[in-house]
Amino acid sequence: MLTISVFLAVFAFCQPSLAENINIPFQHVSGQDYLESPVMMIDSLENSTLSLKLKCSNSGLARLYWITSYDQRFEQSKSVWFYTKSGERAYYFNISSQNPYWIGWIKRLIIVPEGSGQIEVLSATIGQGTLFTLISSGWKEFWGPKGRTPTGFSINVTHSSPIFGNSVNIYLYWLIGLAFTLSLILNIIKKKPKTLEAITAPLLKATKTAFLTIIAAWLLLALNADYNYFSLFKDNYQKYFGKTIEQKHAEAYGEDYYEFLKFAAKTLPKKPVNFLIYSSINSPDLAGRLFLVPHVLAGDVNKKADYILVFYPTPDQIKQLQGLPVFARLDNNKYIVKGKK
Amino acid sequence: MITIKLIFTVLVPLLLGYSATSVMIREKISFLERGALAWGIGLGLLGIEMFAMSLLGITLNLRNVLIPTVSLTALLIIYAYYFKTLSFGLETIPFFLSNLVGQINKRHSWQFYFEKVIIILIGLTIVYVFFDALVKPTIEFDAMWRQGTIAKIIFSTGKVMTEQAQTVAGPHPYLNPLAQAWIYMGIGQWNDALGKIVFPLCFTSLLFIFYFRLRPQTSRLKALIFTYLLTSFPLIILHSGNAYSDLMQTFYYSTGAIYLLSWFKENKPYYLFTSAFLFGIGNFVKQSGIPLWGAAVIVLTLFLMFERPKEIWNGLKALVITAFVSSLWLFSNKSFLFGFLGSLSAKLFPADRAVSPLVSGGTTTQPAAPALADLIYHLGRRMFTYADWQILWFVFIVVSILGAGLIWRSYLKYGFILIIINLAMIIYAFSNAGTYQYLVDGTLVNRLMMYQAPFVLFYCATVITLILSECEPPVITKIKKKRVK
Repeated sequence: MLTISVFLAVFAFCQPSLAENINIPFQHVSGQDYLESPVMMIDSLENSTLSLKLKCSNSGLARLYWITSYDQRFEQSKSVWFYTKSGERAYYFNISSQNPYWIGWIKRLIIVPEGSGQIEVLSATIGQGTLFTLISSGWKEFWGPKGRTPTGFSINVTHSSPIFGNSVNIYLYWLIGLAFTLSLILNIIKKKPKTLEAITAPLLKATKTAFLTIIAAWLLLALNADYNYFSLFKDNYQKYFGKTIEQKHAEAYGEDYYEFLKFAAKTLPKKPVNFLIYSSINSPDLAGRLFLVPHVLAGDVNKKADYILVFYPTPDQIKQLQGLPVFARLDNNKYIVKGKK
Repeated sequence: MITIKLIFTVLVPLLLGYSATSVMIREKISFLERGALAWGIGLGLLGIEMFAMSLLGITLNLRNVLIPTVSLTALLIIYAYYFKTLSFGLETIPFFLSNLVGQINKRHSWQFYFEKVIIILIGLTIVYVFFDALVKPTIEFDAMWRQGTIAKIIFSTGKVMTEQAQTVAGPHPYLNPLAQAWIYMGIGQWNDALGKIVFPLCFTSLLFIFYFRLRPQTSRLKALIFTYLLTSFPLIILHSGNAYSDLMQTFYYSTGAIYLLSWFKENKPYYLFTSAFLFGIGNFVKQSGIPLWGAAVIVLTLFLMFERPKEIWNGLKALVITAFVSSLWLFSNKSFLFGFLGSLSAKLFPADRAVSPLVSGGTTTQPAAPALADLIYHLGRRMFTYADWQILWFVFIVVSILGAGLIWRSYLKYGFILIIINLAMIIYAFSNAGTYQYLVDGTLVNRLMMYQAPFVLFYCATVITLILSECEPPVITKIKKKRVK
């Protein structure tokens, strides 16, 4: 009997579905860093699990996107974010449990590495999956980047680690509720209260059980948070530790931009002036405003700029600068012009 | 050399705070709790002093700030010495050490080892927060364009209210940039990484105050566990390492509320006055400080009316202390109070459309307010399904239901009312179309909820530990020391 039970358990755990898995030949797109599948028509309901064997040059992050016959845009809402490890490894995604937009007919998949490094797809199949792939998918999802890797938005919101698309908190709420209910039932059976007042003792016991479950569950979440802090510590250690404040600024602002800001700080007159920054880079004012104090970003005081700092300008900005004299030049893409715009 | 300068720079507000707490708190309290309070109060007093000097047209630099600070510290120390209240809490150190040594030779239970593990975990988080703050320069959005820029303006020009600083600050007070500018003055250079040391110090102080206020009513193990749980909020940890003002606001509001609850429990006036002092400094951190204090005033009034009417004089004193500490900002035309009165007048006299929003970024003249159900839905998602607050809000509900008997028979109901008023204020703040987007996109709502998160945990911890220990506290809610069971 035991042998049969064990056999059935192993069978359920490992048995691939009876439906046939579909091979997906991912290919590199020339000139791009992502891999894409051919155009397909895959029923998302019948094929919930993607099994990948990847060969990665280094550990990092990647995102799997898809489009459906109804919605043909690759976008973050239709994606799964995951960690990659260097070397050859298998990855399982029970996508339908992780993302509600795995619906309808799936037309194409792409895998986009985030950061440096190369990814090669050694094999890719899609099918119904097994209990093993389901558990593996949930496990990887929990330890995945959502809620662990900081984004530009982390200053406002930190996601909790998900399991099968739901916050881990939800499972803990159920656990606490279940602990309370079971304890209450057991204590009522044990004490057999005859009056309404007599139910107080089992209720107090159940309350204590709920509180102890809360403490235990929260301690686990706290340890999980500590693990995340440790990962962030490692990142910042590699990025900033042991560097001078100048090197740290260069790391934070970008070395090229930092050199230009230093050049501007040295070149601009000693007396505070109003300045503007023309650049194609993202949010150049942020570091510029801070670094160049006591000089004043003209927009802050609603005045015209005495100087315009130009750092890799856009074609439009170059047109606007025509006719203004160059005050100082670091190179052809980095210079300061004089003038009131 | 820069490390020595940094230590000196930090010691100045700490000594100022120690001398102020010596005058204010005449009882023996742990040196760690006194140190934590000294940092918070000292930093606040230093910032307010710098702001006052700047309003008087005095240029802010190391010498000009140091002279009145040292003089004030000396005066407070002389006063405390004369009235024999001078205390740095050092007398508690031998007890602390003998307790520690005594434990080494004992046979230990699992609780002993568990306590040590928790202490190590809390210690590691504190080390991480200091590392995170000090290893990297200011890189976060608001911290760069607002607080960081103003701090550098103060350091570079010696003035606070320059034209640029006023534009960048908007309706926000200046304690955060003043605190950072003080560090730059002390170390003699603009070093935005080191300037952030004020935030991990506030975080560490918050942990100590939380622990030492919880400890009298429960075992060390349980107090440590809940202190460790306080380190599990990622948003608080993240903000302890950057230069936003939200961690400071969290520190001053939560510690103020914890001391207020302590006063509700035990009628020791210094709890009430410490709370008033902390709320007063909190008014000088962010514009939300004033409504948060307003909520505390409502709860204090209810408590005085129903529980301790004879303490009304002390209640008024607390009110005056807060108003006095924050007067330079409270009554300025940029304060929340001014904006709030402006919005009230706009409602009474609709022709006056140009009013300040209650939450920066929104306007009160936008059409179509969101439905209450939508507000609660989005707020609920932020409260229950993200990691920011772990399972705090669920636990708050569970505790409030299962501990209802204890809560409504004791002073704890005033803690509950304070939390509910704050939540209602958050819903109100997002109830117009202009600010609603900050609830939906999650940019502001979590930071507003952060201010009271430590206090909510403290409240939950109090209820849980009382119920788990199967004995209710000897709750003194009336002046006649009536025991409420």
